[in-house]
Amino acid sequence: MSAAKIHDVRYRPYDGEVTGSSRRAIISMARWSALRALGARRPWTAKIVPVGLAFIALGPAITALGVKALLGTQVTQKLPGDLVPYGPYYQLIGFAILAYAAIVIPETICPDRRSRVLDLYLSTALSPREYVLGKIFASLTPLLAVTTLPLAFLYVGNVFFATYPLAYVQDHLREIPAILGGGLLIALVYTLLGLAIASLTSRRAFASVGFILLMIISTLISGVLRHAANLGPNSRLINLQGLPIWLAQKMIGESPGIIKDGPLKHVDTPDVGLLILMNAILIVVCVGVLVLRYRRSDA
Amino acid sequence: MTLTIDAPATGLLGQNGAGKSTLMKAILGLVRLDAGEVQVLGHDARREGEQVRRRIGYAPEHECLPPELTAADLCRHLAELRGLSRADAIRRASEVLFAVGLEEERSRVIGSFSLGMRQRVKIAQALVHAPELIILDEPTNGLDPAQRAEMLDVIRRVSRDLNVRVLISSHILDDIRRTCDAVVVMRNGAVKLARPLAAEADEADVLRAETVADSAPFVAAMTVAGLDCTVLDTTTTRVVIRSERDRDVLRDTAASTGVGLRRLHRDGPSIEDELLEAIG
Repeated sequence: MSAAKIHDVRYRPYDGEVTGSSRRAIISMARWSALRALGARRPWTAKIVPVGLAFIALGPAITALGVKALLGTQVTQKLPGDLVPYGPYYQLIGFAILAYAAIVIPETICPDRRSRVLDLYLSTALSPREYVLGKIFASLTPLLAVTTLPLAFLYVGNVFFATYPLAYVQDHLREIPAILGGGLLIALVYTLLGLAIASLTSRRAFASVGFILLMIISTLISGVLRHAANLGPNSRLINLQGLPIWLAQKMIGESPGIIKDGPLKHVDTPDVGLLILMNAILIVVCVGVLVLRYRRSDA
Repeated sequence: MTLTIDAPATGLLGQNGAGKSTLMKAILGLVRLDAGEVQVLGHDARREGEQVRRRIGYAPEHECLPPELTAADLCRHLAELRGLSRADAIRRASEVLFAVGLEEERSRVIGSFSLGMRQRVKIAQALVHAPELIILDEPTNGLDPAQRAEMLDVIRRVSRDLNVRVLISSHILDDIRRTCDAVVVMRNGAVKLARPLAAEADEADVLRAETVADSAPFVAAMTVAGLDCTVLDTTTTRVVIRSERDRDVLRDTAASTGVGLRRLHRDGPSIEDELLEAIG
């Protein structure tokens, strides 16, 4: 009897391409991190929050378009303004945006420290810069959908229900880049803020509570300065809860709506120049925190 | 320290805190060196850390796997991070998980794995981009005897069957002896001993034979039979055994000359003694 030996171990030396592509590494990091944060390939309970918040953000647009569909354009055209104007829309969905930044964004970054996967990542050719960029894209893309898609959906619905759709587009052409730019601004600022806070801890809950506390404290201080120090609208420059939202509103334009109270109430906001400056400072500070937290020596 | 590592499988042996993990991180370019030079696969690890890490696979000692990912997804993800295309990453993930014996469990989340399985996932991810060298930091830590035996088999297979060079650290001598071709013993951050393990067999064949009676006829008969003998005193002889036949000749000669073989043992300290002394 001859001695038989199995030589096929179903493992072949890999002779394909191994690129040193930074872009590929960043895209891979962003894709896998975003899927995890959104609950992909995880139990349905992990999907509730991100999907729920996305639907909450879409709610006002669906309602406004639903009313138009029910009442018909003959009635809605006679109203003195839009039921839900584009600019103040962010005030309506501010809760969803902030909740998303507080709950979903830490999910992209905290588990890596907690389960020490970060050490494994950085032992590959992935650099800390690529890691952070991947996490920024992973957090930014879904949040961008929350800040941009509802307004885009509302815009498309308004075009659909307009008596003269092309004329509507012509009259509201300026709003298209403003909706995209405003959505990007809000998503970018809250992404960086959420990541900066989350980078300070390995616990998601601490990151979420930290984000919420920062929002509450900055709002309280802003309110105290406004009333006690009589600083006027500029006191709102330290209110992180509204800083990017007000700038986005100013980009889109504050067209009047038919509802003047509640969440759509007009708010006196600081000058555009000061809003741009404060948002820029906030972005720089957040990027600085991320850079410091993910230096190579920290790995 | 000055050290060259070039065996197919090299073991870094030393007690906890001897500097094994630090040396591994220096090889990967993950720690800043105050002075000196580390050349890895033709690259300076201090300045070209990314190029080095692109050609090396690393399995850290500590728990470092995301519990919510499946083994296949983790390997795919890390393959993509290391520069493989998505299609290649899927194929490689399947291959390396098969190679470490986790093909059946590849779709299970890592959080449900035993410690031994998680250690094998670490090896799989280290292999996924077809590195020339993999570095395994204490891969048998915390494993029960059965898991440890399986892990050592996997490591041996990686260096022998898959032709991937292996650098493994351990504080267990037996792990190194079973998996490596060479050993480097570290103590207090310094290299105390570096030697091939293959020479062990040669040394084991130098035996010391102690007889009850005068060994002169015994030595004469063995010399006639072709064995290399050195008389140490009237009852003690050093005999070099080069084959199984030599061992048989020694036994038969002792019987035929009637000298009475009292003790037969390896001459000089064994490699085990040498390594244990170096470990300290």
